[in-house]
Amino acid sequence: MNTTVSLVITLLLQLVSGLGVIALLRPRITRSVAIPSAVLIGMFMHTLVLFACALASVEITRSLGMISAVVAAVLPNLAWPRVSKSYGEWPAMPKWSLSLSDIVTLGLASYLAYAAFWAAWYWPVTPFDAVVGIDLVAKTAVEDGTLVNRVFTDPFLSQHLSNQPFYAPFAMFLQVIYRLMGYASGQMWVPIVAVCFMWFTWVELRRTLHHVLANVLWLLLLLTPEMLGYTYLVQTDYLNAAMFVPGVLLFWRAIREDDRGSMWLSTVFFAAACWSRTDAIILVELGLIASLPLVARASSWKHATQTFVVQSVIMGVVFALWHVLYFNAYLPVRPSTSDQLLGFDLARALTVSTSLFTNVIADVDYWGWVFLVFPVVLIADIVRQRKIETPMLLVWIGALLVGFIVIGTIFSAAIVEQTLRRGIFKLVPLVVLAMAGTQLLQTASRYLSNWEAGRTS
Amino acid sequence: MTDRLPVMSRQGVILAIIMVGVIYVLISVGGDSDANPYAASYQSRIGLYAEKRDSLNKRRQMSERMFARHVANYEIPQYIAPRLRPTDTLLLPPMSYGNRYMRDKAYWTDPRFFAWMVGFHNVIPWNDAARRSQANAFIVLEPNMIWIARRGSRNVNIDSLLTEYGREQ
Repeated sequence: MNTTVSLVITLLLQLVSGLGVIALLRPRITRSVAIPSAVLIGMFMHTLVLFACALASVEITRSLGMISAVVAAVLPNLAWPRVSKSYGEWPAMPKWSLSLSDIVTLGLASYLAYAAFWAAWYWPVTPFDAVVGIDLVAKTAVEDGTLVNRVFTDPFLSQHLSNQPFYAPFAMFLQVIYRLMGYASGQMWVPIVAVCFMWFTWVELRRTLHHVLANVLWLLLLLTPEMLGYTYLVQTDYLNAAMFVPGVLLFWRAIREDDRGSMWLSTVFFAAACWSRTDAIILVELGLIASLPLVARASSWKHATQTFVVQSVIMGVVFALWHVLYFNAYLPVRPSTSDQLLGFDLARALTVSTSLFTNVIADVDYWGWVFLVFPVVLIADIVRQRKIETPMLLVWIGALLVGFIVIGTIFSAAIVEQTLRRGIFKLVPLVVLAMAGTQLLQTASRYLSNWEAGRTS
Repeated sequence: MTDRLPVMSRQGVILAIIMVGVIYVLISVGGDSDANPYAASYQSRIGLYAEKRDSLNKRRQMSERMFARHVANYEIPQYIAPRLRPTDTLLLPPMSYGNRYMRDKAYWTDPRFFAWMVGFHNVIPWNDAARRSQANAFIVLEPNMIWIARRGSRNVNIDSLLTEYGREQ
């Protein structure tokens, strides 16, 4: 089968899989959010099925790549009576039209997407971490037909693996799937993830602000210097952000709109985040714990605690599938994680914090102007309004920062300028969305809307 | 903010023009100086490829693209692998030795990188002190030259080479 045909069929199957999961959970989300979410969730489902096949010692072949996609598409749709009810509701959802400024912005975004697809197709895998980790394992898995391949069994190599081949497996499985399709470097999934992620954030911004302000903020996110390159370079971090950020936004929506469906969809996204980067479980747990008072305020402490426990169990299971079950029951070698645990040391935490803020977050060459503008807007908003408009997002931003410092302090392998720098991919969209929620921008937004509609106030 | 307003209106056109201006400033103004990080990154990550896409697309073989991306890190393993004999156990030199002869970091000295480039061979990395003595083939680098030396070969003193490997460690 032609690689492009394989890609289209696989993408459609992943979309069906993701739509099935969304229909099953029944969040109150629009189609414009459901479609990119479905592709991302479908990718997650596909890799889970492929992993189950690997656990059952099924040989990794091109046919398996396609069959596992079919299984992933069928599984959530087995609950057809519930799922079909949701499908029936989608066509009746409200539609909204594009403005001229949307068309201009989407024109540039389309060009960036084209460039990302071209670069992912053209170039071989480049980042060192991916070459010696994700892609080395994926490439050898495709050659050997098994995950327990020569990377882990070769006597000359097995003692020199370091951390990279043991990274959380989401990106590695996507590399396997795309290499099985026939793409020489795999990695065509990277721009697909980027398009879905940016689509999701655009819809969220568009929902919050006047289209011009939403588009300007979205462009600042889209063109974030450090993130732009990873729309075509294989790494775990962009994928992780693409799972983490929708998780936070859906979690926020669930609390704000008392929507259980969004809560469970956010849990699926969080589980996918834990499947894509090892430290995500610490960050998600910290965020969930920090937001407990907000959840309790919206419902009750009992309900908040129950939800937290169920979410933690689901994420813990997904995390343990790879890091506990697979490492201990399948692989002949283990990562030396325990050797890298340092224990908490306040002096080291201070060094990590200083380095994180001065060398990474404050560097405009990495993140553009977002981190400089955000505190100004936030402080102006607090001084003017005497209240915080988006407490949930600020709680998650704070939890992420604390989490980065904890991770940088207790893991010797978590280097601030590398590991934590790419972890910031999760922070940028949250900061942009928090900025969009401030009264300052909301007022500007209302003013623009009135002006555009020809109203006087 | 999803009010349905007419797509073509005077205000809509003004706002679209403003948007074009914002995009122009973001991706085109101040890229050469430190003033606009967006323009600089756009130019290096997107603009550069756009300018060179025609010539880049002439490279149809993956090997050409591998060389364009990884340069000596691609070329050196490609040179070494076919010249290894079945009885060879190759000692990969330390990265510092490779760095002396390359512009980029000598990632090929990492056995995982080497395996990704040319598959699995009997290679021992320099930092494997326990197995180092099992090696019987060694890589010699000189400016614009590379070859494999084996124990007993006449033109290289292996002990001197190992001392050279250990320099700057």
